Amino acid sequence: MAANLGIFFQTSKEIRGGRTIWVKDGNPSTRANVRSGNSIANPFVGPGRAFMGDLFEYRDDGPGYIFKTFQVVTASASDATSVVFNADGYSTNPEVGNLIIKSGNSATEIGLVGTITAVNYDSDTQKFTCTLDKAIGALSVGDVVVEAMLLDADTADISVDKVASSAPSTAAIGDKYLNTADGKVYTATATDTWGTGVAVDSGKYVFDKATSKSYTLVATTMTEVVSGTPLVKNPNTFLEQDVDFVPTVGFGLTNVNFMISPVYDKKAILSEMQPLPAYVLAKNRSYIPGVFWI
Amino acid sequence: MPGIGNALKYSATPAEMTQMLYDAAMINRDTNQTYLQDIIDTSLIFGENIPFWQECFDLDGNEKQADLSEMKLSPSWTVLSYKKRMVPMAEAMAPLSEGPQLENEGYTTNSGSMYEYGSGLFQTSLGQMALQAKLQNLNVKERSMIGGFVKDATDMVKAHNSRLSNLAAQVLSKGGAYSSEGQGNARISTPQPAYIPITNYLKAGTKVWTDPTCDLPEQMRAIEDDVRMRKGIAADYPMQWDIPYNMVRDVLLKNAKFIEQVNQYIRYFAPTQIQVIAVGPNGSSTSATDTSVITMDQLVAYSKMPELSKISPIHIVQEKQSYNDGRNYPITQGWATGVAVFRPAGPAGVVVHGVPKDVAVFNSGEINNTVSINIARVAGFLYLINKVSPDGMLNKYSSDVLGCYAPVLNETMLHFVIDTSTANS
Repeated sequence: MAANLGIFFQTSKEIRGGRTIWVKDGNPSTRANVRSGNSIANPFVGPGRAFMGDLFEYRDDGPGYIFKTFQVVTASASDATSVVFNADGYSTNPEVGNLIIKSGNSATEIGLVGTITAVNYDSDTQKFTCTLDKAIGALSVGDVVVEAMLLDADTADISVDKVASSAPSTAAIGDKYLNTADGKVYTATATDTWGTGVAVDSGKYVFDKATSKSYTLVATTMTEVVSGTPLVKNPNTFLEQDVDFVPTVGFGLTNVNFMISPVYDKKAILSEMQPLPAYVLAKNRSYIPGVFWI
Repeated sequence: MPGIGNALKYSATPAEMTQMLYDAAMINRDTNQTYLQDIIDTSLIFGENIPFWQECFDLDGNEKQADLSEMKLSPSWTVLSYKKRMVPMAEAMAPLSEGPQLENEGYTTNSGSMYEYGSGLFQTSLGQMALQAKLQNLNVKERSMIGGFVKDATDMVKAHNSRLSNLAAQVLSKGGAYSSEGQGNARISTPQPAYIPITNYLKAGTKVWTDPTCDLPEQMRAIEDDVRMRKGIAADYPMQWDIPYNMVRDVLLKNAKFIEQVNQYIRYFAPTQIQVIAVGPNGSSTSATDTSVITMDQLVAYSKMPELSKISPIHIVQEKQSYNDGRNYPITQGWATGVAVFRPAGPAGVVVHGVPKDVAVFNSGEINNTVSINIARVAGFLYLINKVSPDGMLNKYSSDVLGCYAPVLNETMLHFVIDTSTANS
């Protein structure tokens, strides 16, 4: 920036005001702290901002996670690799490398995961158009897309030790393998002996512990897919104010660590908050419509 | 997922370093002058600084005290009025017969509620600190920009002026009725029915006013004559027309008969000014004087000229407000569509007001010790309430400007509402 200044300088910067995120209430209210706070395990890689009232998953046993959610503003087909999110100035910015998934009704619902490979921000239409490496299914306007994690042995419907087109010759009791030829999962009943195969139901995902790949039924064949679950399954606290993120990768910056002390037992105005998926709305403690209390 | 680093190694954060770089590039080290010239946009917002309600209503000198014995009851107002009618002539009578008797007209009381209105700000401790940090980045001159960034007590007072202007326009154009319906907040309703006599709602005349063939000055004169006669208003009793800006622009200024009348006025009282609107080729003086365009000033000046004008003076009503509808701020107007008002000249009534119950409760000594409240009276009828209350171990700050008020007509019997879009049947 400085180097170009002597030649030409032209810019405009918008300083936003602020949304009325907290429920205005003159009564003394509660505000609870968490123990020690958390380092943030999923900071923005480039410049970014998390907003006052955004949710955070505080973890007592490790770093915590910012709950990154994106609101779909243009419908896209099931095979689309371009998705369009709201960018009204108070929206989480998607970044190249983010894994995303369409949020389901439960935090553990498995779905197709795509990796963002490019982000285009259009300030006129206030939209982020993201290119994905793989389609994540059909999206309608208003759908909520969340940051995802890849399927693992804990989150998969079934996890197997191996995937093969024919039965492996060796097995210990309890070993499982997915037969891609008949789409069945076999369990070893005795050493080197496989039991009767069980067909995998449609919509179920099998995780291969050996290769960390996942498989699901596409038409009639078990096919390798990229699947996963929402990264933040238990958002339990609020960010109390905006947090600016400087790049954590590149730009000559290293060793950037973000620590945060999220708060809970506070009430926010739902319509001003980030878009929330059904499984998070179900955690709302408030019976007043439009108020989110966690 | 990016790895987590150790600790921040720099004495300045990367954000601060970026800012320092930016500052270094912007400031000439030798002269300490910045390379940039800041220009501040100081344009005014429509009508916020000169509220419309003050054109038509006076603020009542009395303030209704809050009644804490009945919390649900809004303070009320009452206007007494009696029927205006010409006293009948004395009747001929034979000596020693009984003279005729005059009837008592009785009187009407109209009552309504003063509803409470509020506009507020809210901030948590950390939000406050972030705000202060942002303000420190602005130099003294730039701090006038904070109007776009920080809403303050002035804005809350403006909000009340805006509300009151909306109510005032409704009261004038609907014969006393007002409500906040359809203005974003559907949570509470604050209706007030109309109270001018039903016979004071009049129709447009022979033709609707928007009809290009309508002889509007004549129709308005007919309405005036009719009500002056009916109500026994002397011919020289000053009355006025309240006509919304849009109607003046789109209907009156385009009405052929008004153009004719106004041209007559210009020729008669300001013959020299005709040159101004002459459009002869190359500025030459020809008979081709363009008389098809008249201006608002000319129209108003004409209406105020009793020697020529067929009608009472025109007061152009200009008011506009906005309301918060979730994320949007739609623009609205209080004035009813297609309505013109004919009423006695001068103020149409008073703004009655009371002490909001909240203020009375805050002053009652019943406030929790952990909450501190400061109250100041603003603009004679509003209350600024600053509250600091605990937010866990931190503070939160609420500022509210509350008001309990209603504009009320005090010339109800002579207040006429003309529906210009319905012709006489």
